[in-house]
Amino acid sequence: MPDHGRDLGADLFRLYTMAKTNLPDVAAEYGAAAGFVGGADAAAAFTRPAQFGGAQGPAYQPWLELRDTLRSFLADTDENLDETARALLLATDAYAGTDYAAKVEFERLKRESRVP
Amino acid sequence: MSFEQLMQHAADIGNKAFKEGLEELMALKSPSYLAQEQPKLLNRCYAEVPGLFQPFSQIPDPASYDPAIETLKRALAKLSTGQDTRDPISTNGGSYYANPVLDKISGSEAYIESWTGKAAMEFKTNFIDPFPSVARNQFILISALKAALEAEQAMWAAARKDIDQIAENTLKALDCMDDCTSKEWAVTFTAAAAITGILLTIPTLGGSAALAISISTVGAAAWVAAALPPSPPELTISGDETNAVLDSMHTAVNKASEVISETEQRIAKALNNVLDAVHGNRDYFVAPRPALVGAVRQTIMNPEYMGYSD
Amino acid sequence: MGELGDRLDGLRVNVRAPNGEITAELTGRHELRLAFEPGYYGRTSESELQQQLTAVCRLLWVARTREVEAAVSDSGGWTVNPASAQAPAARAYFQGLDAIEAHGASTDGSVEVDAKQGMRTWEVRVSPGTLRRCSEAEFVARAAEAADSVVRDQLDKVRRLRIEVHRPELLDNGA
Repeated sequence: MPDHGRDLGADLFRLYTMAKTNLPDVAAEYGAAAGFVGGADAAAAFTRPAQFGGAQGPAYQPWLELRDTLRSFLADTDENLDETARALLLATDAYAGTDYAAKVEFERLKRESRVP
Repeated sequence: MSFEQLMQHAADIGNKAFKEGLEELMALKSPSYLAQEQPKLLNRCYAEVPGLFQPFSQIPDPASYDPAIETLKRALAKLSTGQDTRDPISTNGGSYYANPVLDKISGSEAYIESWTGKAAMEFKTNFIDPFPSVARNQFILISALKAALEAEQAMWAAARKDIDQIAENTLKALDCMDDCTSKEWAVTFTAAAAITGILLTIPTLGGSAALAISISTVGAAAWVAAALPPSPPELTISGDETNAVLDSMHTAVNKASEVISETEQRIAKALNNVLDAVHGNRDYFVAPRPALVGAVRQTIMNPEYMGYSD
Repeated sequence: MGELGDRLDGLRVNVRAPNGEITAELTGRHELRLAFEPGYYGRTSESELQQQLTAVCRLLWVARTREVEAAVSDSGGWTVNPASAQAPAARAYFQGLDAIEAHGASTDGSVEVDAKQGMRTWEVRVSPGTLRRCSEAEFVARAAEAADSVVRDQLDKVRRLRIEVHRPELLDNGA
């Protein structure tokens, strides 16, 4: 049987904390990492006279493809974390709506905590 | 002598070769021969010689890779987990402090354990549990991306030295022509040995039955601990006659191009290896999109998503 | 001109004749300056002088060759040993060098120099009556002319040899 009342309120608060701080904090690190990888611009560095394997040489395209793949991995991770956080918030809101005692306890914990 | 003056050296070679070549033609004391050969000599010294060196004067500046390398170091710092904070390929950048923010994922595991809906449990198993390993693998990939730039940088730095050495030794050979006995100067093509291969092990994800994978890639020899590279190719600049000296220079310049081309093919091949491994083993490098993301207000409390029990 | 070229052009070698009465300095490839011990010029003979100068030429050339090889070696290069030359052109070049006979003379013909075998063998001739006719200073100038002339002739012949050996196809058509 699921908990209810104050226990559910405490669980909701833990979920809320995860959705409001843990996941977004890590997502932000991923957002920044994706930005750095995507911002690693070597197009000009690779540019050379055409006799050396074409305008940017044979290594530039695979390098760029790897960079973009990696950037999308990091950006996807960022997005997955943010969207998961949104789903968790949705859950806290939905469960709080089903149990008044739980909602009271949840709101109390939110007020007393430093979670934004 | 230095790379920045390459075209000045090319001009010096042309001038010196023309002067010496003309003396050789004059020594034959044949006006018709002189008339026939002088235009060829002019063309060789003042068109062919600068033309050979000109593209080399525009090869990439090794320093121009620095901004991208520095940016990737910042990405590495973001994704450095506590597992191993060393750059797995290159000692350029060395260690990155573990980013404590990343621990907040593993730390939140307890926060979600009361939620027994399918998607909630999947999120724990497929996202939270393997997260440190995935982050570690992403860290390794960024390091490979950076190592490729360092390999390019090292190759061009060596190529500059190589072409400079060719110009310098050609000038020496021309300087010595009036001291009759044959002299030689070695040219070593160091661009090939400036990069080295490395085998990366991508560890399996925690608890997974899959095997660890290996990817062969490259880095700058100076930054990567690896077996000693094979001894670099060598040619000599020599010749008892002006055109013979220019011929040996021409052969060496072509060889320098060839070595650059082969070396860069190795870099390209390494990058393609990494790409193949990434595409073939995507799960090692990025966590799948959690099913939770698909929930809406009406479904979030279903057993499919965030069903709850203690 | 490269650094090596500057060094070779400025090379200066000094030798002393076997009898100790003559010193000679060669600057670059063909600037010779002789100096006699006080009184020697007045008491020597043409035959003794030419014998001593022949030795001086040989010593100078040995000294310069050693200096050139040191300069080349300092610049990272090396001198090819004729015995180890493999390519037919390289062998032909060394044979050709050995066969060159260079000749030089002062403008008045009083001093003549022959160099053979790639300048390993030398012969200096001082024509009879030269010592009576020329002051010491005049003789030093004549000797410098003869030295300059033989080195230029040698170089001219080496240059011709280079073309003969390395570009024979052109000679058949042109010269």
